Amino acid sequence: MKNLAIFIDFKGVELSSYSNSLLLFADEFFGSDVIYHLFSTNSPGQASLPNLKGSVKAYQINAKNSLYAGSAELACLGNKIAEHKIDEVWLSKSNTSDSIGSFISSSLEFQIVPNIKQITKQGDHYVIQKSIFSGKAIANLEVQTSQFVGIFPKGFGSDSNSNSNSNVDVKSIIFESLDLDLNNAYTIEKMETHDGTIPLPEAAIVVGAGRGMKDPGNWGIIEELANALRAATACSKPVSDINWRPHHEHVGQTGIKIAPKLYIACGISGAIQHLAGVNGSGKIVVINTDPEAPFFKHADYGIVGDLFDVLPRLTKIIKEM
Amino acid sequence: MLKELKLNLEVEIDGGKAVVSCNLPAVLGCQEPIAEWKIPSMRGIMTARTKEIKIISPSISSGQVHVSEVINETNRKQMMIPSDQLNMLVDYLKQDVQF
Repeated sequence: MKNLAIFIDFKGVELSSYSNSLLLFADEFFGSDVIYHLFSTNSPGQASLPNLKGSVKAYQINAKNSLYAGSAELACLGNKIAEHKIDEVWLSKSNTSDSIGSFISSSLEFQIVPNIKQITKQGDHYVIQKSIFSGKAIANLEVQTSQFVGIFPKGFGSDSNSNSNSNVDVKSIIFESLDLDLNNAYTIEKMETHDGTIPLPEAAIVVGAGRGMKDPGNWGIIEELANALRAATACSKPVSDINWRPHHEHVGQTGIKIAPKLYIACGISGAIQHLAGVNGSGKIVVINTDPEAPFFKHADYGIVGDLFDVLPRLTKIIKEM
Repeated sequence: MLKELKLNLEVEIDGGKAVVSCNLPAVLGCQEPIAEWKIPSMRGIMTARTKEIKIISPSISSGQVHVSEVINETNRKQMMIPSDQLNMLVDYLKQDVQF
């Protein structure tokens, strides 16, 4: 019987959509031959989770006043994972998953595979496709099926889950409290979250804009289109460098890498560094005044036109739908 | 910012940022604007061409076998739509993305 640890997140009292997708994928992948150990830092204590075929143990990690990525908390978490004889650890990609995954890998000598695009079982090993070189290439790996840490992009499994968007059978689970020692942790003085906005890595639709917007005061038409589409807003590197938009909106090789179903690029020429951050998008629409902009060669749909004319008309059509 | 052997740091977290403090010693991972990406000089590029690359085996025996690598080429439609026919774009997107 496999002992699988999955790190899950909540949005308020609801399981996050990407954690839900990962659990449903694991359920189809392993069937009943698994014991799930679900770890969370923000569970509501008791929560409705998909009714998985395997048995479930759930733990709420209490690392008060910490982001639980400090050495003491991680060491304690590593001990818990060893204590529960965990064979595998699955995480959704986030700022903290990299440090947790790396720590478990180095301290327990587990194999770690980030950027997993596809995973299948073949006999006593996994066959994994992972994205490399900023998504420019795919590596095919064979990995042992124990002592394994996998980091999956947010939303992994949402396409293959037959029932992820329909009525999933749910079960109420109580989270056991897991207190971590905090001998040497850092202290959070202040936290600022971008409330009310859709987080870029989780957005199904993203509207991005570049220097073609000419002035930060013109971003209203981007936000209006994004609101109409229930999309997140993004920007190119030059735009965040000159402080037109906040750094957390910077999409590209050195910023956030996104893979939404739809990416609408407005006034972005399509530098290769920007493409590296968006080439995982399902469909790409490019709107630019310059017909020679290189982004058009990497777009599904291109419109040559003035943003200040095209975007308000596009927003109007979408609002009227 | 270093203050009486204590570091005050601004850290990016999922969906926001946090101001944290920690004692030294500490290992820090930096991002822009502290870690600014530099374009290499032509002299640096030429020097790198002849630089000896030492290949070091990992200390942990890996259970991973690299079978192959393939270029990830997503074929895009590259369909141009006249700017006065935005309804056409919306119709295509309705089919493709179902928003």
